[in-house]
Formats: sequence, structure tokens, C-alpha cells
Amino acid sequence: MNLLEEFPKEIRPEELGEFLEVIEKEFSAAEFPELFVHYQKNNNKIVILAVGSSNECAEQIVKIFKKHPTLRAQSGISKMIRAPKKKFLLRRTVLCR
Amino acid sequence: MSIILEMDGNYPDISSGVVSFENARTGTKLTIELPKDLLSGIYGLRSITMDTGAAVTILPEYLAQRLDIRKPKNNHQMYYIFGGVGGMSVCYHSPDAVIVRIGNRMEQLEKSILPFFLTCYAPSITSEGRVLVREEYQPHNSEILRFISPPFKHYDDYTVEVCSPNEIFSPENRRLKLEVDVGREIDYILIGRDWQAGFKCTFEAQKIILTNHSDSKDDNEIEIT
Repeated sequence: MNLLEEFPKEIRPEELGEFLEVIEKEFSAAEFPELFVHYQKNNNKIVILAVGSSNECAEQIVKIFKKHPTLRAQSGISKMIRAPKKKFLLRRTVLCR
Repeated sequence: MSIILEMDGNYPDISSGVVSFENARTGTKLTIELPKDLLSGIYGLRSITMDTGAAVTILPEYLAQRLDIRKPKNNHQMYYIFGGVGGMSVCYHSPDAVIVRIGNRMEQLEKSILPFFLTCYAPSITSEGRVLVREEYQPHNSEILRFISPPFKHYDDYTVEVCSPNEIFSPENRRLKLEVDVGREIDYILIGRDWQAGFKCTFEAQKIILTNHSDSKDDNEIEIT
């Protein structure tokens, strides 16, 4: 998959879970030991901006903003799919709802 | 293109040049001129460290505010906890990309990153426990608690040698450099932790040389001289 050609990609909010599952399968742990998905969310749609390591996501986001300036209006959301524990993530926690 | 910056002492702390940050979404910029702005204390920083040995960039949370980067909303908020020989750090992942530029008076190089912002720091096992029991850091479920108890395990993967300027820096032999003035501002700002893929870094005794990969013969090479 050529990430820069694929994104930005719009999906419906209810499709996000399935999309993340597909990404996790297609982007193997061997090839992508660190994997983030960066997207924007509003009422009607999810806009996927980047997939890859944290660093790769940043590069993709900057390129997409240059090409699609209107996307700057909305702040993004990062979701970590996986990370190599030895060098990166030790633990993570989230807020109580 | 290469830039050459002076560094200070036993660790490659950048002590010259200009480091600037730009919120890629809003265009908000922050420029730190070295060493003047560090000495003035206006950013609460004492040092800027270029480190190529670890995997992530951690910046103080107040820099997020200065860059107009909002903390993720509650329902999207997730804290990442890093531990190491320097203590434990609780961070969130930036929702906005940040363009970091490092330059001398002649040239500048830039790199886009999604840094982590430090919200809380615990320098010891005891203080780590006190931090992690806070309500805001409690997880959805009990899975995470297995990590908390037993509470702390040192991961020395990045450890440990800090060499004199005239000794050899081994890229694999660096430590997690996170020194914090507990309860106050962070002492160090870390840049370059995930820059290996973007630049060739050459450390020469009292200088650090950053070169764009397009100019480099070997993309993975880190020269030590």
C-alpha cells in the first residue's frame, strides 16, 4: 500500500473499528513494529490522515495539509496500534469514562 | 546540506544555533535561540539535547500550550507511560504534527514529528506509585494494574555509558536522557530521538553535524569520530 497515495481517506464513523482491524492485519508487526493511526473525526465522517510510525505519520500529515489546507481546521486523534516495548512503550493507560 | 552546531560537555547538548517549532496545523511557531533563550530562563529550559539513541521525542507540556496544541479530549485521551533509569514519565501523544527546525546562522534542517508531551514525572518507585493511583491515570479495566503491581521494573535497554567528549559515543550505548526538576519545569528538552531515519548525525568532540540523508552515502550510518 502506498500510504501517501491512499490518504486522506474518508470513512464512516461506524467503519472505524473495522478499518483499524484491517490496518493491524495488513501492516504486519514484523514490518511495522511501531504503528499509529492518525485521523480526524467530526459528526459525519472519519478522515484517516496517516498510518505508520509516529514519525512517518507526522511526515504524512504535513504533506496532506499542504495538499488539502482545509483539513487543518480540525485537530487530529492518534491511536497506537502497537509499539516495540523494548524501545518505546512500557505501559499505557486511559481515562475512566 | 549540513549544519554544524556546538555541543556542550559530556553529552551532546546543543549549545548554539536556533531551534524552532511549528504547529503544522495552526502555523503557531516558537523559536528558541541558543544559548541566549536558555540562559534567560523564559522557557524554563536549561538544555537542549540531541539524542539519536532512543525512539521517541518527549517535550514539556507547556510547550504544547505555547504551540497551540490542545490536549486530546477526554474521550480520546490516552496516557503513555515511559519508564527508565531516569524515572517514570506520563505523556500524551500530540494530536498535531510539529515541524522542528534546527539551524545555525547559515542553514537549517527540518523534520516533522508527533512528539509526546510530558504531563507528570516520577523520579522513584515510591513517587511512581503515588502518580499512578491518581484518578486521571486510572485505566478502564484492571489489565493495566498488573503492570503497576509489582510496581516498577527498570528497563535498561538504552543505558548506560556517558562518555567524555573525546571518547567514542556508541549509538547503541546511550541512555534515556530525561532529567526533570521535579514539580517544576523540565530541565531538558529532547529532540532527535526519532531522527535517525531522517538525518545522518556526526558527533565530533565538541560539535554535532546534521546532514540531510539526500546528501549522505549511507542512510543508516552514524559516524563517530
